[in-house]
Amino acid sequence: MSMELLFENRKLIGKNILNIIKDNGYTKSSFSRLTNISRPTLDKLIKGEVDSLATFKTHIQKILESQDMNEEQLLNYVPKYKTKKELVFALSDNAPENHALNPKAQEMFGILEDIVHMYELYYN
Amino acid sequence: MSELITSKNLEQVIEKNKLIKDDILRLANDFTVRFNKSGVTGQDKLSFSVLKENHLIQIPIDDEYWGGAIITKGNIKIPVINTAQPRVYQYFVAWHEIYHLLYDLNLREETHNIAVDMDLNERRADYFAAKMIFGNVYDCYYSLDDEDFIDRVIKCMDVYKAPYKAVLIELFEEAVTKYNDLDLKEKILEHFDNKPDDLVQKFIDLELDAELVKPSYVVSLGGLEKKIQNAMKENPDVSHHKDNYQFLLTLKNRIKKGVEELAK
Repeated sequence: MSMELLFENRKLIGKNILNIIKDNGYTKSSFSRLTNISRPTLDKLIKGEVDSLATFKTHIQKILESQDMNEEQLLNYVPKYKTKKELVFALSDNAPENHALNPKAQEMFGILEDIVHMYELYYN
Repeated sequence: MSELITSKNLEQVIEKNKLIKDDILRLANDFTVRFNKSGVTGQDKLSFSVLKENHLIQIPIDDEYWGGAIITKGNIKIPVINTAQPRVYQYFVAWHEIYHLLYDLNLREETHNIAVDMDLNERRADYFAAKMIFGNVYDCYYSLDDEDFIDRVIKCMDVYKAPYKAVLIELFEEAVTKYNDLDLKEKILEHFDNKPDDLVQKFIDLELDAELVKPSYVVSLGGLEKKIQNAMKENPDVSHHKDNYQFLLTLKNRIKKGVEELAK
């Protein structure tokens, strides 16, 4: 199986990478360190937004090596458990419609997201 | 998302409260019977102790509107409180979130697709919070000697550990629906949209504990650190627990730096 086929299906590959991360108890950040792929690039891979084939190949190779997988296994990856529909409720928020979060608040929401992901791993 | 309450929609809010009053009073009673087995008397302590049993995350987020949330992930519901907001808001938000955590049918997995009136749902959560926090605010207000309306309201804030607007809404409801106190009603409408911007100084001037109107900046990750440490002990050969632990410590340091900047 060629890397080009994976590239053509990069949205699906992104979903599969996310499932591999969840199934094996990593966070996006710990997976980024493990594979030596920067966090922003990993996010792009997961969203299927890497548009350069060369970059895509380099990083997918790193993931395959870290997981001891081949291209076919990555393309056809079946999650160990089906993730249930996720809901995020921000319930005590009466901000006006045009209110924008400042950068510090945005950073803290990013941290909160990482913490919640760990909760999912350790409290489920 | 809670609706923004102003003097213009205050009467509508009271009308909505009438619709849900019986139901919310029943839930407030249910809560006391089922969830306060230790007999905790401080309302602020009680709400936080219940949330902590559900692995409450306390984190300071530099945003004046975002008070907290219940984040649902798969099977778990995680309460979050923004500790960069003054304590009185945190106490109110804590009860608001308890409503969602324990009683909000919309957050039950099997029913979360049912379309509900979100505004009314939020009103229910706010009304539940008010009913858990307040006793007889109307009597409290009139028992005070102060001539000044704002000073009286601040003293009620201190007694109930409640936010400015929450005190006024509760007072307004009593004045309108129970006592037909038109004078108080007018005073509330006059002051509702003009929350004093120097509440800390006003608390100090009235010889009250000003900590109530300051942020606490508490950072707590609901026992997650211990949980990962235990996983490390039980599975010493699994490397990703160590990785996750290190990552969590990095996150904590980033939060602490954020707190230092906020507290400057």
